[in-house]
Amino acid sequence: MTLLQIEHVSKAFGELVVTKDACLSVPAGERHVIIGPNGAGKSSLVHQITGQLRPTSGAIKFKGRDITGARPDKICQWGIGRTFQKNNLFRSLSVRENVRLAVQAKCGGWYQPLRSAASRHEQHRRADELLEQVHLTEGHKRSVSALSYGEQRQLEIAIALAAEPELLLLDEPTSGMSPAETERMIELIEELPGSITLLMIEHDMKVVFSLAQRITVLYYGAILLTGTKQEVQQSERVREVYLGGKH
Amino acid sequence: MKYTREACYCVVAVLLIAVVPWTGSYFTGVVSEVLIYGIFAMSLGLLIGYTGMMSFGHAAFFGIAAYTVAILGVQFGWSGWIGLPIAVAVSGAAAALVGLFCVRVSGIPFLMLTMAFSQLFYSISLQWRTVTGGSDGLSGFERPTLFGLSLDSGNSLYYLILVSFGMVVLLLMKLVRSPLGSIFVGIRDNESRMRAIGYPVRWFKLVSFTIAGMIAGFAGGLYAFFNTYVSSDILHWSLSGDVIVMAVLGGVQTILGPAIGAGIFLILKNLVSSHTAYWMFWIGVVFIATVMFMREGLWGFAARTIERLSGKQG
Amino acid sequence: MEFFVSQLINSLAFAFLLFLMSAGLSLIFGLMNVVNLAHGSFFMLGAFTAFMVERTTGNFWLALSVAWLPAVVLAVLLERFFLRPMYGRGHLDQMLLTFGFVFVFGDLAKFVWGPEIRSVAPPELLRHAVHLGGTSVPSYRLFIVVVGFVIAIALWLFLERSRIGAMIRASVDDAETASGIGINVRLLFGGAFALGAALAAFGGIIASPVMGAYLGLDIEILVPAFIVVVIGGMGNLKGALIASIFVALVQTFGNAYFPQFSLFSIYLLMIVVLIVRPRGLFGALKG
Repeated sequence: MTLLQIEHVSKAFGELVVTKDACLSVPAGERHVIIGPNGAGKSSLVHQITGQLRPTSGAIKFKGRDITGARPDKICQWGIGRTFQKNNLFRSLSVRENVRLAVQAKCGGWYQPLRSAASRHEQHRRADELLEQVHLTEGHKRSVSALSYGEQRQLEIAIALAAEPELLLLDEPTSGMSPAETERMIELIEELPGSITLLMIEHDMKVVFSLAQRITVLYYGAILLTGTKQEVQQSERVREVYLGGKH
Repeated sequence: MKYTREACYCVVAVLLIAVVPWTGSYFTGVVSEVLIYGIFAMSLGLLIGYTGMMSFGHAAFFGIAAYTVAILGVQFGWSGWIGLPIAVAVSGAAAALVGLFCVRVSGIPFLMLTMAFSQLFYSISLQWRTVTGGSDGLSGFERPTLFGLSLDSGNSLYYLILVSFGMVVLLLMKLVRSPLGSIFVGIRDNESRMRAIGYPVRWFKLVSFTIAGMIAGFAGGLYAFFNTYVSSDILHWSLSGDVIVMAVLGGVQTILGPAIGAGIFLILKNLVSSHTAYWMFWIGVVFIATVMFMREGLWGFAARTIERLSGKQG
Repeated sequence: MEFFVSQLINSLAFAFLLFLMSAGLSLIFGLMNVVNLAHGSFFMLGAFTAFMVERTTGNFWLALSVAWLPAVVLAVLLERFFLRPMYGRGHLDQMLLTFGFVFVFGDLAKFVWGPEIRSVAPPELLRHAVHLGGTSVPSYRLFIVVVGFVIAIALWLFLERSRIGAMIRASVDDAETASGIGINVRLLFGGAFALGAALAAFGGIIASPVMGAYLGLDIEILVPAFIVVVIGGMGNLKGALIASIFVALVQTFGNAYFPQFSLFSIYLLMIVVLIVRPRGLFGALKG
């Protein structure tokens, strides 16, 4: 079943075109990675899926429903979760509270106020569960600033998972990480249940090739190629794009 | 010394309940005024400190409620006991309506928009002379009786205000610890992430704005009881400015901070202005110092210092 | 018709005064992401200084040339010692800080010049009336319009055509990168803040023969200036100019035809604009 359908999506800021006629189809359960050089428009594409940006033209459909230009909170409620490239945490709150807030939202945040203490207890339990899932087990009462950078990236994922998304968008989950931290993150992502479809942006080719089932290559806002690892590795055009340097 | 903070609260409570009423009507009046503005400031503290929204129009809801009580009393002869809940409802409705427009923006546009609506109510009060008395204001409000006790003499009015203050503090404490309170805190911390995890942020900002407006309205109603005279000054945005100073001076990160700020502001104002014409300068200096160095406010700073000191001894 | 022409000139004069204020505000916000609620105080200081200079030397032109200096000095001190430590702290804290300075500057002005309204005589040259469009218009108002227009052009040229202007625009886009390529961002910020203050003070000077100098002038000019900035779009100079004209027209003609709304007309304008375009007419997403 096609979970996410991106149809001829374009986005321009006046003269500047960041997304050019993008078409992509992601089936349920897939591990899909988007790669491309800096400035290729990867984050902009993800922002359009999750509602932070509104496409200039085209449509985005999730489980058959048109979500183009919808509000981020509605998109989250419909089942899409995301992490951010730059850590986007609740800096003044504790680690556990960061996740609990997300759990609380899942329980129907807007008529929450009348709930009893018992449900908060339940939310704490669930938050601890999620923290365990991302291997962040010690000191859930710590403040965010006490976490290492890598731990903060793990927390990012825990918060996104709390919404129980069917589609999880990971925006450069390993950016800025050491090789050891990257290994741990790869493990973490591999352990994610198959019921969650993954759409990732990544730079680190090691991560890409160990996790991806299919890869989309973005270049100057346009999709160059979507295919399996082999197809991407063997493509002339992709090699051209990546020629002359690193990412 | 673990319970130093609680001990302080008890001392203050005892002072307020048992000592102040014996100090004579002038001082009791001063404390009453502080308590009323304290409620007003705490409501703004909810908005600024817990949801991160700096409004320059909060006086509107204080003023609308005060006028409602006064108008219902003077023009229609309705008792203050009926007027007060109606006033709270009216200011809540006004806050919801104004909030509907204002929560769509933030930062300076929010500041200006809230000021704009407040100016609207101000100019209405000036021009609708037949109802509001215009710039002369409306006097002659008769205080209702409380279980047969007159509120005009003795300490009954003071106790009424004190009890109201206590109720508001309890209400705010419950709110802040509730799921709704945690949502407000989340919004203050990181609005965009709150959206990304599924919260309709605008809706919650409106809720916060409305609750703050209702509590401000409650203070306004009490003000009418206390002052028996209302004029357009209480709708002017300079009162909104004053209450911002009160809230920040005391510290918006705590519930009581703004109330303490109100006390400091009013006492400073009375004290300093009897010595010099330049009391605004000094308030400004203290305020600037607070914003720069004691962001948690004077009360937050004092609370922290007390805890640190008692920690050393304990 | 005569009425219309004279009101139009009044509007344009007021518009350029608003532009002098809002251009500085926009520049400071666009460049430094700082909200300066004390900007009106610079305007007021310019007016009071002009009063002092004109009173002691009798020379308005001298006032025009130097009376904005104290405001610039004050601005430099304010930026260096109070704003700079607060750059990372977000708009709320900056608004609060500069709000505190409104109190401080206000009473300082009261201390130096007292609570009376001070008037400033316009220069001999411009005390007569001029015939325009079938009516008599005070030449000084025309002078304000002309000077304001010249400054607007000069500002535009400066920002679009000069090297410093290019540096400012680069830093508006991305301060980090700008400092990475050698632009002394700190100096630039201080300079921009001083420039904004100079513009505001100059506005106060040039307005003083018409508005006078008095306590409360700071707030009286600040509120419409912020309305202009909000309507035009925060940080947008072109927006500031166009919004200044809008606001001035609404204020002047609104007061003339609907005096009962005089307290409120420009607020209503702002509410309407923000409902339709919450970011202002030319506002853009700011990071």
